[in-house]
Amino acid sequence: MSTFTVPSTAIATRKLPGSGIHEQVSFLDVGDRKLFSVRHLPRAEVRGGVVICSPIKAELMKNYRREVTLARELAARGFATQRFQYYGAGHSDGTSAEIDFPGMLADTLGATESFQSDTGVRQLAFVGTRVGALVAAATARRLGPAALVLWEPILRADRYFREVFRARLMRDLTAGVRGESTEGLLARLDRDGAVDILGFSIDEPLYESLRERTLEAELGSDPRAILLVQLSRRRQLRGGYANLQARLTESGFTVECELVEREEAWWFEETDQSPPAATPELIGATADWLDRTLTGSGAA
Amino acid sequence: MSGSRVGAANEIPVFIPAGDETLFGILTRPDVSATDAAVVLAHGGSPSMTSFQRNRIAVRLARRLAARGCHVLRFDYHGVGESTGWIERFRLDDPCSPDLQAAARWLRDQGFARLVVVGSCFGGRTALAAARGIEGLEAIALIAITVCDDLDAQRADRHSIWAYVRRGLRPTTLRDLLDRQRRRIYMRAARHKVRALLGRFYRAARYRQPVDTLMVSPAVIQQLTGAVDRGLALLFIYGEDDTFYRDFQSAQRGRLGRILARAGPRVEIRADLPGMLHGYRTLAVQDAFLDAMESWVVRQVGESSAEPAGSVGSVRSLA
Repeated sequence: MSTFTVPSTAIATRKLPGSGIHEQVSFLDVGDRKLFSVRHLPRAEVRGGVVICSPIKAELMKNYRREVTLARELAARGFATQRFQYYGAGHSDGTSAEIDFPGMLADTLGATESFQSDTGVRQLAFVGTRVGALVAAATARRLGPAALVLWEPILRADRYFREVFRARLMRDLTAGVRGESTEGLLARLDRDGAVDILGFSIDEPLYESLRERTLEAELGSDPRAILLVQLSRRRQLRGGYANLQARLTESGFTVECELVEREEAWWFEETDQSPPAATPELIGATADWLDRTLTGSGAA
Repeated sequence: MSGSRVGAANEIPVFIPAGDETLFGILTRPDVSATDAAVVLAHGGSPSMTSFQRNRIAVRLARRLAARGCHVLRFDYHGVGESTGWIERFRLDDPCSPDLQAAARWLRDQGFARLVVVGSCFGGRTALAAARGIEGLEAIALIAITVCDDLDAQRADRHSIWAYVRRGLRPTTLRDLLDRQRRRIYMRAARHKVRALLGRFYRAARYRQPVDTLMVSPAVIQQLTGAVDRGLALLFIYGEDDTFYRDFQSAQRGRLGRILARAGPRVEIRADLPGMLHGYRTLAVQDAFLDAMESWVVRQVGESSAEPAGSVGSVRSLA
């Protein structure tokens, strides 16, 4: 009879050489859901906490290593950082058909509560990318004056879905396949409950729960500090972002914008096999801003 | 198929030492009595790859295999996902074999005497390169792999010399040659084609194979020879539309075919999955792949008795 001595501990921990930060990987229980969780903890005194709200589907994979790099940088600067994957995403439990916005929000609130309970962190900031920016905004609105970092945030979810469906159309065109139009894909989503976008399933619960949401609505009316990051080769802030900044500023928000020169094709793979630029500029600007904002050592 | 639903409750995150780096992995444990084999999932080598892979296919595969009695380890190469380190470039001629060997060694240390590797494209090449250093390895599934190292030359090799000549004589091409940057691009393409052509003639003479046989990486030849000599079970699996399968077929007219013929029934070749398997770019091919892999792995490791975990092949847990 074989005997296997597999580890049974539910948390894997390690200390990174050099920085001395601790990493804890586990599956968090949030309600009846198990979510993949990674915490990056400073070597010494904790100066604040950051929760990272990831994007979804292909964009989750694209952004993954950047989020890991950011979390390690923040922990090295003394900020405990919580990363996790929504139910139905990444290593977490659940299926693609079970992802919807209310669930993503509940997962984020649950992960944040667990994070604060375990670490004692009181002052929080949230980092959200793409759809994750909507989640981060909605979470922060519910938890008080938390600061927000928004990487390439979605302004309107209906336009986001059109962009995603166009990605499939572009792939079909380059493959010489007669593809479906956006309207055709929406009809298919309505009929079949899901559509295949480059090997990722976009399911009706996600679409219906998200499509009418806007970043501005999720931000609410309580002012807070925001860093809005645009990833683009353009040297000017996109009109949508500039207009949002103006409206929020008028409402009492403090909005800084950072332009990082990197064009990101969120749903397509790079043609060369080099790793995505960890984009030191993006990581550095974000960490610097969070450092200033969370410690009140600069304009916020 | 077991009716159990394996999920995160069956999974343990682990850190695996690999030289100067620490790899991250997740071990999925069966909830039926376990076979004494473990399966390692080696992911592809694209810049945005992670161990859960596109549409979480590795998570789904791991949980399906665990429902059939297998322990399954999925892990991130160094520089990827949660692992430490930095990877400069994913190279087919220098894949992440030390990482896979470290993962395999970790499983051996846990007591798994029999190992099966499922490698996706770059992961398949990693598996072939690492195989010699993996004790207890019994089988490798090679998912939509390319048998060439130089993808540029391989792409060039697919088009005839006349296609190049026709393209070169087009008015637009001749006009483009006046531009230095475009001239460089065309010269590079021409160099790839010349290299591919010279390679064909060299190999035809050297290995007594037809001139139109695709170039195969010498390392792949050596690794496959070793795998066949060792008696490993090999599965080459492609989609109907995988260009790498057409290359594989071409390569089989030469040395590759002779090596695989020696292996007899231990080698299985499939190219019947719908569409392109490489990159798992449709839900249909993912579903077909999961069915195919579950069936193949169970044939390699043997069926579990479907009794509750703990009754056979006991798991002694570390504190």
